Amino acid sequence: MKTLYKLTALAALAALLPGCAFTPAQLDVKPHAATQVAGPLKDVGPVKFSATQLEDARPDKARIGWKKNGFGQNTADITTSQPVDQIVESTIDKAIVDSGHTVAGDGAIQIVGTVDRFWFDMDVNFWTVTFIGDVACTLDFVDAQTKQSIYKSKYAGSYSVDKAAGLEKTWTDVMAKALDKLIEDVTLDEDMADALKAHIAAK
Amino acid sequence: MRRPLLSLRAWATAAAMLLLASASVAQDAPRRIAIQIEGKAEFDVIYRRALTNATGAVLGGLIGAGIQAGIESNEDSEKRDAIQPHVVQQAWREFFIQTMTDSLAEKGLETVWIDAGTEPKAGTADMYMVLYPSKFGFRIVDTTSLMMASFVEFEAAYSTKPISGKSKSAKEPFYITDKSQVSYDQLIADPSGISPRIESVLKMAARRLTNKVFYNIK
Repeated sequence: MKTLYKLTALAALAALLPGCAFTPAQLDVKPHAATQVAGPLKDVGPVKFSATQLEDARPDKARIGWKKNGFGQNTADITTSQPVDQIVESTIDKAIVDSGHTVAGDGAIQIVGTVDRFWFDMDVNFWTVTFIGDVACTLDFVDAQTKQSIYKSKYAGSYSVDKAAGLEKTWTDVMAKALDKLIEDVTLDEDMADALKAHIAAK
Repeated sequence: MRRPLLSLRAWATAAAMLLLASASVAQDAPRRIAIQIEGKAEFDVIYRRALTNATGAVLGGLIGAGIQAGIESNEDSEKRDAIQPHVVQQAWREFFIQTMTDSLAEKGLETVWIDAGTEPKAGTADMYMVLYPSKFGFRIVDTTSLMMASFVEFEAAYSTKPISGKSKSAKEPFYITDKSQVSYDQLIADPSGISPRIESVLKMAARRLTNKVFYNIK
């Protein structure tokens, strides 16, 4: 009975994958609004940051992943409704604001850098599909006045989940959770918080 | 009329000083965190498995999928065998657990270790955490450039109340990769870089977990 159930699930999955494989998918990806991660960044006395400005440095800028047919071939693009650099910029700004700081046009500290990775993937196993979201960026915290770098580092957010099946809603959620993890990576970085504290104290 | 030994003002001052003193003692007393570790961290190298998936094979037949998965796993195990001898034995305990304990102590938290399988009673500590180690090692982090990084993967459940069997479902996944990337060939050509990369990611993950628990526990 259990085997019959599994075979039915596999057959349903097999039928589902090619059925929608040729239509491009556009995902509205953003971090979950409810995600609030506190960390050492909160302990840096309130700072006015300039809005994050990132350059899209991904090798493949045309898509964030591939739809695949039943034989594992790439058939259609998965893209985002908003440019990827803007999604990551807003995510970093959310991490800053959630930590008690402000983001304004004339901030004392600028955050510049690159989006290095923004990728969605699916790995089809025997009975489940692993959905994987992966986001990485390089951030440089720069003194707006002197234009000198205060702290530079790579940050990443990754999330994966095993499910029997899943379509665009699941994919969007997986990428959103990867962005949530990116926020966590920024917020919990005590080296960055220490560097900002030292910079503020020296001013 | 006889005067009391101490005036009302003196009594009030003494009471206030006593209150302040007890508050200060309470602040100075280290808070305790009860930590339980369930499972063991396994060393792994994920190379071929990060590059391909079994989609075609699954739909082409379960036997095909099995063969493909077997080939990928075999290729990765060869790479694991080449890298693992250069990794410090007990790396997880030496770097992750030690750094976590030190970081907690820096934040004024005293660690109380709970044996796996036992459930701590209320009042044992002020915070409770169950750690579920999974994997650490090296994996492809960029499928385009084939660059690898050291990584660590684990889950944790934490709360201000003892974590019982029922609440253990609220596990939070952690997947952390090191900031520096390297190709497999570079890694093998200079094995002296293997252990420092593992140490770096395990220490970073331990500090991140400490901060996550310290700042976000409810």
